[in-house]
Amino acid sequence: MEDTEIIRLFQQRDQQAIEEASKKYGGLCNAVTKNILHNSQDAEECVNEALWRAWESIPPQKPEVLSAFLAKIAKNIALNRYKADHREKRGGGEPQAVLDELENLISEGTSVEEETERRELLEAVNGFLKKLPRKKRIMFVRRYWYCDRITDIGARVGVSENNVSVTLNRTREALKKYLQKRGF
Amino acid sequence: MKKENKLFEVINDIDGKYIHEAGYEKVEESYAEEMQSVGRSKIRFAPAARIAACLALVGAVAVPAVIFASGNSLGMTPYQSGGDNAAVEGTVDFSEENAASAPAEGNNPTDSDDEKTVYIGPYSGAVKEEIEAGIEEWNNMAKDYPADVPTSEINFVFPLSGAGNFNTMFASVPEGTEVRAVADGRVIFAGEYPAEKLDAKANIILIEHNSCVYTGYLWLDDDMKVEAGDDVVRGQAIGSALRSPLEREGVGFALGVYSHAPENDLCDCLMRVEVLICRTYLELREELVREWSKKDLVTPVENVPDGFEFKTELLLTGGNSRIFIPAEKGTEIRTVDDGEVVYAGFYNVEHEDWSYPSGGNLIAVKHNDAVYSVYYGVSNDIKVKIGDTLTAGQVIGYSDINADFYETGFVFMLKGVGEYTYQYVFTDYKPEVATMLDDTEGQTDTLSEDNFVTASEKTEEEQELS
Repeated sequence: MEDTEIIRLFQQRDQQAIEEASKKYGGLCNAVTKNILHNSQDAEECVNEALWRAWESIPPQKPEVLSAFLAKIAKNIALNRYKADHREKRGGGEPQAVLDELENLISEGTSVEEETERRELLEAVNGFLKKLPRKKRIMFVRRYWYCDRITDIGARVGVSENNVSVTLNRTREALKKYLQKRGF
Repeated sequence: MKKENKLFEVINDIDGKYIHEAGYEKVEESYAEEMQSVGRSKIRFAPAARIAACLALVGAVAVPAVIFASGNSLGMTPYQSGGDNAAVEGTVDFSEENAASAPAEGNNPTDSDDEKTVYIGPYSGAVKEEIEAGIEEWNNMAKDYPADVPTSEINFVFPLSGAGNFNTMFASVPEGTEVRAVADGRVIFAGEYPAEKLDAKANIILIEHNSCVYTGYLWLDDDMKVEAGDDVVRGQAIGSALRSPLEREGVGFALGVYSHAPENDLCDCLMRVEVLICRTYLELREELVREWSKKDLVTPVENVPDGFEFKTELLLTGGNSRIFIPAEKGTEIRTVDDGEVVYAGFYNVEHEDWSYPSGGNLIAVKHNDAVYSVYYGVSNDIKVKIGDTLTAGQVIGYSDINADFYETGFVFMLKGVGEYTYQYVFTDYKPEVATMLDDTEGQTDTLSEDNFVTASEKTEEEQELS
């Protein structure tokens, strides 16, 4: 079913919307949450919760990209659960590895709590992604948005694990330069 | 919040289209990259297998291995591949040399050592079982196919060997050849496909055969005999094949089998079929460029500067031949060959990455399906209009003062393999840009490498990224 049709079902308060969204994007959301939580049951719960949150938020919201909308909700739920589980200790697993890799890419002074600066940084990151070749962009997003393992990214894009590591490393360096030029 | 978390949180809010792209679209070189790749390293059709290998590892739609239905004894020329579609690791090859051992003769591809059935993405548990059941059902059906399905000229088998298998095929058959459903099913789509990348009609029919197996029929004419919702039986005529948009003998016909793919994925898969078809066209266009290059061309101005030459070899590699030709204001500009005017008028090149800051009058002449000549910086007294048929040497306009170069003259360029329509000349094309070394001292009578510096229009930053 087309996304527009699913969104229309949401707007009409037709519960088939949840079923269709789950059928189409449940797997995607599950992959995201599982990457973060490494627990099938927890991941599934996050997806279910995400679908219900989507049900509650559409309308009034009308997502432009339904897959991203649902995946983002699911990811946030999973991240919150991850943070709660690791509040007292430095976390492990892929999210922590991703955080480590993103260390020092922006200056200490950057305050993303300031909405303006946060928006500018987001625009810069989006601008950076736009300029990246598609394959590199997918690698980057898979790693730093989906928190995929390097191995999985390699399998997904059809290159070696080493190739992914090198590409990500260079992309991070490029991002760092890109952001530095823009004052971040 | 730790500083590394700041960026992480910001990345969390990136544009949804990138999330969708990475999460739901298949990982495959973009069309432009494909074309660039083709341009760099000659035309090859083997990448069909490479595409399959990539598809095999994509998560959103499980497409692990591919079977490439190929030539047969009936004289059709799928992909005109010349035997270049060797299997790559992880795929099952049903190309000409292997077709004889295809499952119809008992060699089940699932027994192949080469095959790697990869279950990927979210497919697991009940869904995976559903896929396996659907495929088994399909393979049992497929074994019984007679040789005359889906068209009387094509003999092929296409069993599926795992979740996400798909077969693609492009065959040259006469225009109007009847296309038939390969198995019982229900039409889920019948209509024009938004083939933005093709300079041609692209009607498609998608048929659902069971819960996870579909077939797609591309390149059909308008007279489709079914519509969405219709039940069809195996062998039923559903439409007719379309004549090639290149007016070549024969037609394009494509078929795909997909598993567990919703409608939009089917369209996405069919786009890949289109890409393969485009490769075929590219090869044909390469021939056209070669033929055109042998012609005795007229120079764009009567008295060309020393050193001017047609760099037609660039047209074969996806490059272009672009040069600024200094000429007195009012000098007659001539079309270099017979052709049809496809653009004549002001053109704002700001968004074309040409490194020319302003717009100007532009005339583009299509010489054949592969070659265009473009004249940019023409005076307002344009002598032709869109649709005019020209003969070689015909005056089309006059040179003017070119604002971008601060001297009189115009930009002349040839465009070759790599563009499908004139539109793409100005949207997808990323050429090297020739710029004057020194604008203020640009009053040169001769053209040589010393007068120009070739530089990418990309910024240093973009070069780093790419």
